[in-house]
Amino acid sequence: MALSELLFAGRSPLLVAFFSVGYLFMFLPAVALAFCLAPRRARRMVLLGASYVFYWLVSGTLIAYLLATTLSAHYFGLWLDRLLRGRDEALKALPRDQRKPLRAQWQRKIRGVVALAVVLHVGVLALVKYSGFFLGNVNALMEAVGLSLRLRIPAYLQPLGISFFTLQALSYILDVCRGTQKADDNLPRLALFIAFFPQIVEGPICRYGDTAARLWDVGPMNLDDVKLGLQRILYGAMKKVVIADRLNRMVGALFKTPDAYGGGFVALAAVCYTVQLYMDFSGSMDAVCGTAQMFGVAMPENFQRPFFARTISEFWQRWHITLGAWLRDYLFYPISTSGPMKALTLKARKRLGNHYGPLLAGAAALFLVWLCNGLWHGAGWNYIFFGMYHFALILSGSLAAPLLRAAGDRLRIDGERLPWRIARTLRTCALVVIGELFFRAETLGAGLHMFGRMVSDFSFSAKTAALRELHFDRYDAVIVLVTLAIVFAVSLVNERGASVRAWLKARPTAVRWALLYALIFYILIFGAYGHDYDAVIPLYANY
Amino acid sequence: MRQSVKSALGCAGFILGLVALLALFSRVALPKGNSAADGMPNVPASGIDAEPPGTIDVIFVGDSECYYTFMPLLLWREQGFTSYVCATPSQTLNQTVRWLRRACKNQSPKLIVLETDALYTGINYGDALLDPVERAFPLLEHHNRWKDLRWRDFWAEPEYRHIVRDKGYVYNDETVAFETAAAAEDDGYVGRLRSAYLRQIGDYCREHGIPLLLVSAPSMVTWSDARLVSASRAAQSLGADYLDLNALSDEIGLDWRNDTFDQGYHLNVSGATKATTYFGQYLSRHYSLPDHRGDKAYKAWNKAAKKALKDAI
Amino acid sequence: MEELIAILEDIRPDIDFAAHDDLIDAHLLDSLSILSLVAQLEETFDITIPAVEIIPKNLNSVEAMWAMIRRLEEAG
Repeated sequence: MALSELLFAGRSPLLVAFFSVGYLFMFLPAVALAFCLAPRRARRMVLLGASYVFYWLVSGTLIAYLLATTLSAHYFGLWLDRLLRGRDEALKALPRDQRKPLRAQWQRKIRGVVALAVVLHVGVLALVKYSGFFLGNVNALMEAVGLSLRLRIPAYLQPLGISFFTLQALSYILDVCRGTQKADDNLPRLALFIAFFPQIVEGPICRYGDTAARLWDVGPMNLDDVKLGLQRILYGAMKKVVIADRLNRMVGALFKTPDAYGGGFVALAAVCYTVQLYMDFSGSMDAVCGTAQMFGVAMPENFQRPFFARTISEFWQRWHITLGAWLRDYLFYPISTSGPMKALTLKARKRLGNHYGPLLAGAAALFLVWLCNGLWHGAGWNYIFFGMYHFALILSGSLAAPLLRAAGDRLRIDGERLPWRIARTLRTCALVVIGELFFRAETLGAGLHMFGRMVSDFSFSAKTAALRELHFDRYDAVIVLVTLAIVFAVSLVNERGASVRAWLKARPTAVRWALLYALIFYILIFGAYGHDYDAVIPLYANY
Repeated sequence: MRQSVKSALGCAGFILGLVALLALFSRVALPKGNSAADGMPNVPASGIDAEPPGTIDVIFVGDSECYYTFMPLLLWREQGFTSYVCATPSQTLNQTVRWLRRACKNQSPKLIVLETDALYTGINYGDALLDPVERAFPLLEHHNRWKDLRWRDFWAEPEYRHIVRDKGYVYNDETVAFETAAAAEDDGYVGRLRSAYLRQIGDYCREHGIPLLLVSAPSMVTWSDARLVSASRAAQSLGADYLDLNALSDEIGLDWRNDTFDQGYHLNVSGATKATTYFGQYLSRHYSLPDHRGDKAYKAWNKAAKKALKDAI
Repeated sequence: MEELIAILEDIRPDIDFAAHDDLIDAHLLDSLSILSLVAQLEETFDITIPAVEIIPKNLNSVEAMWAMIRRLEEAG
């Protein structure tokens, strides 16, 4: 037995399932206990230690990637800090009119260091995640052209959460480079920020300025936070275990053998997958934020009732918010306001006016953002298609906006009145569902084929055997719809600005307990767990 | 001080209420009979609850390798002792312990036979932790019964009356010949958790004075030399006997083209008949098992055997 | 300040800018509108708005935008 096996390396990959016995009733209580017993200074180290233990239990020796990323971020940060200070001192020594060339020189050096950091981090991510896809395509291309050379495709084990912590580390380095964040010479603090166990699996992607201090200066555990955190975890459990996991087998069967079912089932599959994805991901986020809240740490939200969005653009400000914000702040704005892009915008505005002029640079930056967004989710043409689909929708939305507004004024239509708001929201939902169809399809070809069948042969015919494969009866449908109604009601209340949690807190004890018991037993009775179901790892844990 | 005492009492109260509700819901969720209509899972194995007390001489436990191989009615017909196969799909050793206790509630077997495939189905620590909780609160195991609850479930006490004719054996008469399949690839390693449960099984048998026999049913897919070594070592550490039917394929007369229904993974009825015949002779030679043939109290077994074995042949 | 409001209304005539202090947080201004805004502000007020300034704190209300413009004007 190798030493790593002896030390439980990678023995518990199921710990990433936040609603498993292992995480909820073994790991989390153990960490909470250690946290409570630890003296004040040691609390932060308990969190750091627990995070590394968690990573070790799930990914074993791949923890090397996490450690390397942390060390790299730390030393690049310090290096950049030194360069920035050196630049400022050198510039101060000169009179104003001589500063420009020296500033440019320093900027080149700083940009070089940043470029190195980006290439290193993104390079490792690309190697581990995308080398197979890239080389596979190269091979396909060579076959198409008639060459007989084939490259060997290496198989890399993907470390847990590498897409997430790479972005987090990069955001730290870029913040230091832009001057929004001073480099941190405290390595454990940076390490805790990058490795904190609830968010390393699926995010949210945090910013150093917001989260690092909160984690490092974590206070004693207090009962209120624990109760609120547990309530949040419970609510997430309802979303994931009752709805998402219950839809899992049906969605899987429909996407695996779409031809066994009529075209109407494609629409059903797309809708159910979208529901499953949202319930799974947002339910997991509830578990993450709930866990963090138990320790008194606030995490940024990843969802803001995305299906209430009226446009696709708004949807992406409400869905996977931290990823969108990362791409916006570190990719979209820097590119669209960079030197060459600004020059382009200037020229374009003269020709096309102020609405369409900046759209040129905007479109270019947006294209890059959506290419990255699509690819970030996985190495496949269907992901790239997904990104381009939303790129096209957002761009065309922006292009059409002034025309639609004029038409609306002419026809005296007020887009803000409720019936129109609902119509726009439903339209947005439909567009999102179509996008998710391609996102989930096994390949791009399969996605296109399924879409074609949905449009050309919209029927609900299927053989009985195929229907049985769905493992979904009317009882399942009722439970899914009832639970969705509950989630919808809660979301509606939250959208109006009220807080269900605050309302709950203000109720008398008997009412609170009754509602909590109802929630707990709702999950225990109607949850899709046990030997009739397959355990479903959180869907975003593989990204 | 006051506030923290109040909080502690509040938490304790909440947990107590939770436990009480769990017990209440569990009473409703528990199947009130052992047939499929009552919502009992694993109906073939669950027939043990309905067998008249003190009538079963041999209890088999294990997974699908067990319930596709051993035919209690054939053992009855040829050797005269009664047996029951309390085996379930992919049974893990923690479940084996529970089945053992369940079977021995009303029975006093003279021999326990454990099929060794269960040694190689992994258990994780979460399942191990959940085990006593599931035993205490059947709601967790039977929660899916909400789909077919009946009024009876709310007030009736459990009554197990459904007799399973084949006594836990699962019949399969298809034939899909063995071609080539890799033997089990692992190194036969039995981890800490499984070893602990094995020891529990051994202790239980020892406490009740029941001999334990480990047996490896014939299979081309779930067997390997490594597993042979580790299984015999496990039997030794338990003070149990061990019999490897794989090594005796020729004596048993197994023909892997006709005796399997899934390319050598499990035996079909033809293979099971051969294996059971051989095994019955082995048991009669090595263990003092009673012969109830001719005993009027076991009339039901005669009837069952006549019907079942006629269907099989 | 009036110049600023005029610019804003030209970009998005459907929004009542004076009445909101959550232009970004309530998803009223999207990133492409913000690009138009930034381009126009840079030209009108002869300032440079780097990417780090494009944050909700600076853009959530007309007052916040005006404060940012004054600050960047002074920094030169």
